[in-house]
Amino acid sequence: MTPREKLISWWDERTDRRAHIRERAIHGRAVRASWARTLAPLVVALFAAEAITGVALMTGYAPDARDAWASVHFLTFRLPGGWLVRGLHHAASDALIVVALALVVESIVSRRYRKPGEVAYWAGLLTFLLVLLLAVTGRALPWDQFGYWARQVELNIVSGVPGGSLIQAVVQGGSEMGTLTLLRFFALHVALLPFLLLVVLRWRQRLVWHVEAQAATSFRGSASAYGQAARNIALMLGLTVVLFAWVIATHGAWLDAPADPTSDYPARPEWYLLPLFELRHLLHGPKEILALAAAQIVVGGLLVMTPLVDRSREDKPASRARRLLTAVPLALFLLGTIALGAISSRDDARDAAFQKSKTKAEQRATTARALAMNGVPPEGALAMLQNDPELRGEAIFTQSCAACHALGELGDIGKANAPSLDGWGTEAWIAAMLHDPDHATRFGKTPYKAQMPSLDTPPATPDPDAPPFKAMSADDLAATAAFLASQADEPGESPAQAAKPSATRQNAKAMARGESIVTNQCTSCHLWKGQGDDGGQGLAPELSGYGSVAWVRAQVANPSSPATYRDGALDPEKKGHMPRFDGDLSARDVDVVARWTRTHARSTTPR
Amino acid sequence: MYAVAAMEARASARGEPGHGPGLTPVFVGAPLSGSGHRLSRTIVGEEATLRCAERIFPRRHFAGTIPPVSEDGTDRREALRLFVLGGMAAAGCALAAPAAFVVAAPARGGSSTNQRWVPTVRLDALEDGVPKKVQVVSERNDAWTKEDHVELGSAWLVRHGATVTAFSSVCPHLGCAVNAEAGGTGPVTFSCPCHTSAFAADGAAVSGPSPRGLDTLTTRIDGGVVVVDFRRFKVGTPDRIALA
Repeated sequence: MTPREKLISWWDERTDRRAHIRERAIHGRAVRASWARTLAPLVVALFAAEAITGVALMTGYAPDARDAWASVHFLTFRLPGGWLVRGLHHAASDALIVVALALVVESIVSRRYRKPGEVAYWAGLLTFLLVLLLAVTGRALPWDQFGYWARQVELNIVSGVPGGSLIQAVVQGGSEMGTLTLLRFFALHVALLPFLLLVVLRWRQRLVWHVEAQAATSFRGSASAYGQAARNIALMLGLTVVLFAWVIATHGAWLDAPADPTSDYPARPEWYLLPLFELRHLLHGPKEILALAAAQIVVGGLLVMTPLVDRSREDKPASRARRLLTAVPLALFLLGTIALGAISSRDDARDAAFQKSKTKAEQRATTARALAMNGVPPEGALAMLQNDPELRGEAIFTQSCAACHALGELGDIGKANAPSLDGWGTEAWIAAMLHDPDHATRFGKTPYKAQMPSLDTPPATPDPDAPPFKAMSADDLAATAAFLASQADEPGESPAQAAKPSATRQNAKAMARGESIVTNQCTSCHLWKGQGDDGGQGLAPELSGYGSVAWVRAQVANPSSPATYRDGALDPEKKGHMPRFDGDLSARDVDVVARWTRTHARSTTPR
Repeated sequence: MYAVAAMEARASARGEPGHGPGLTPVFVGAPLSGSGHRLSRTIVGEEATLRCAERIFPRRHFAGTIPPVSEDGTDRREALRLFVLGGMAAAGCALAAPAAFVVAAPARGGSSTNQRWVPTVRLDALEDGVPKKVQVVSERNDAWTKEDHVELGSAWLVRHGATVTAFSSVCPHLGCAVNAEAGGTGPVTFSCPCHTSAFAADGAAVSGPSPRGLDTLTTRIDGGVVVVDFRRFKVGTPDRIALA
C-alpha cells in the first residue's frame, strides 16, 4: 500500500467515508441524469454561497438599531471589497428564491409529488418557505428605511389576523420595533433559519433518494455518476458568472437612508412580496387582512394538498379532473403572482405623488451615504442625519415656514399668504420689490399690502396731502437694488459668489449712489443702523444687513425686534403677520433654518 | 447500511487480461458494521455490481442491464470528473476569495485611526521629576464610529524644568499598564504589575522580562500645555516599531 492508500484506509476504517461515496455513485447510476435534477443541488450551492458571504458580512455587522445602518454602510462603502460581498449575498438570495420556487414548480409539473414522493414534495415546499423567511429577515438587518418599513407593515399585517398580536409582540420583542426586533431578526437569519434549512435540505435529499431507489428499474441512461454532477456544476458555474455580472453591473446591494420611525417613507416590499402587497390593494375594505390571509391560506393550502388531491398511481395517467385540480392552484399562484407584481409596478410608475416621495427618499439616502463616509457619531446614523444642516434646515422650513412662504418646491405658491422667498435678498428680487411691492408673490397677500410705495410707478389713488409723485430713474433703482443686495453679503462671500450679481455691483459710483438713496430717502420709513423712520410708523424694517444671516436669524426668532421689522410686526391688528419662532425652535434650529432659507433663497430666481 | 461496496476501478480495466473492453467494477468485501457479518469471499466485476445494486434496490432485478462502456466513455468520464472537481473549486474560490478579502481588509490597518499630537495638561501642573499619569483624550475613528473626547490611552509625564519626557504607559513586554513607584525615598522607578518588569526613571529596562525600555513619546509645549504625540508600538520586540 502506498502511503496515500494507507492514509485513506486509516481514515475510512474510522469514518466509513466510502459509504457516502458509494451511496452517491450508485444513485448517480440509478437515475437518468437530467437538468431538472440540478435544481436541488443548485439550492444547496446557493445556500453555501450565502453561508460563505454571510460569515464575511457578519465580521463587519453590528445588530443594534443605532449601529446597524452605520455598520452596513461601513461594510459596503468603506471596507475594500465589501460592496462585492454584500452584493453577492443579496443577489444570491434573490437567485435562491427563484431556484427554490422552480424546485417546487418542477415537482408539480413532473408530478413527482405522487406516492411515494409526497413527503419529498412537502420538504421542497418547506425549503421554499424557509428561503423566503431568510430573505425577509435578512433585508431588515441593515435597518434602513426600505427594510424597516417593509417589516413594520408586515408585522402589522400579522397582528391583524387572530392571534397575530402575540406573534408580532414576540418577533418585535415588544410593542415597537427597535434593537430587540433587530436582534430577533438577526438570530433568525444567521442561526435558526439556516440551521432549519440545512436540516430540511439534507432530509429532502434522503427522501428523494429513497423515492428514486424505489422507482429505479435498472441502471439506465448515463453510465457515469458524473453525468448528473457535471450538469449540476455547469449550471452552478453559469449562475456564478451571472451573479458576478449582475452585482458588478448594479454595483452591489442598495442601501437606503437609516430607518427613521418619524418619516413619511413611501414603503414598498421586496419584489417577491409585491404580489401580496398588490393583493391587499385589491382586497381593500374592513376585512382586508382576513381576506388576504384567506387568499393565502387557500392558494397555499392547495399547494400543500396537491399530493392528496392527485393520488393516481405513478404508472397510470391521472383523470383530467385531478390534473386540473393540481394544475389550477399552481397556475393561479404563478400567474397571479406575476400579474399582481406587474400591476403594482405599473401603478407606482404612473403615480406622480409616489414618484415624488420616492425621489425625496432617494435624495435622503444619497445624503446619508455621503455624510457617513466621514464616520458616524456614536449617537448613530439617524442623529447624524438629523443634525445635518441641509436636511434639518429643509425639515424645519417644511414644518414651520412652508405653510405661509413658498420657496422652490416647498410650500404652495397658491396658498402662500406671505412673500415668496425665491430669489429673496438678491438684486433681482429687490429691484422687483422696489418696482411692484404689492405683487401677489411679495406683499400682495400680506398685512403689509399698500404699505410700501412703488418707486417708479405712481400710486393708483394718490394721497392729496403728499407731494406730487416723482418716479425714480431706472439707474437709481438699479443702484439702490445693488447696494441693498450688498447688505446680504457675508464675510468670505464676495459679490461674485453672491447670487447673480450685476455690473452695477462692481460700479463703485453706482454703489455710492445707492447708499445715498437708502440712507437719505428710504429712511423716511425704514431704519438704517437703528436710525430713521421719520414719521414714527414703526412698520418698515431695518435695512442694514438686510438678507444677511444675522438679519434672517433675527427675523425668524422675533420679527418685532429692532433688528428687523420692529414692534409693528406683531401688531395683533395685522392678521396673518409672521409669528416669532424663538419659543418653538431652539436657538440652534433658528440658526440652521435661517442659514438654510437664505442659501436656498439666493440660489433660486424670483417669481 | 450496505454490506457490499462497489468501487469503480477503471485503471485496472485496460491492462488486465480476462476482462473485455467494458465495465470493470471492483468489489471490495467489507464487514457490515455492527452486525458481525463477514463476507466469505471477495467478488469482483459485474457480479459485484449486480449484487451491490440488488442490495440497494431490493425489489428490482438488474441482471443483463449493465450497459457496456466503451474506451471512449472512459475518457469522457475522466474529463467529466475533472470538470466536476475543477468547477466546484472554481465556484467555491470565486465566492470565498472576495469574502476572505473583506475579512482580511481591516488587518491592513486604516479601520481605526486616532488623532496624534494631543494636548494633555498644563506644564504648571507638573512637579519637577515627579511622574504624573495623564489621560490622552481625543478624537477616535473606530470602524464606522467617529467620536470626540474619547480616552485613547494614558501616558506618564516627567517634567525636567522647561521640557517634559513622556512615556507610553503600555509595557513593551505584553502590553499591561505600567505603574510608577511614587512612595519611599529611593529614586522614582516604573514597574509593570503583570510580569514584574521594572524600569528606571529614564525609562530604561532594569529587570524582568521586558525586551526594551519604556517607549518615549515626543512632546512639545504649546501655549503652556504639554502636547503629546500619542502613538502605540509593537510589544515583545527589542526594537521599537511604531504601529500605524
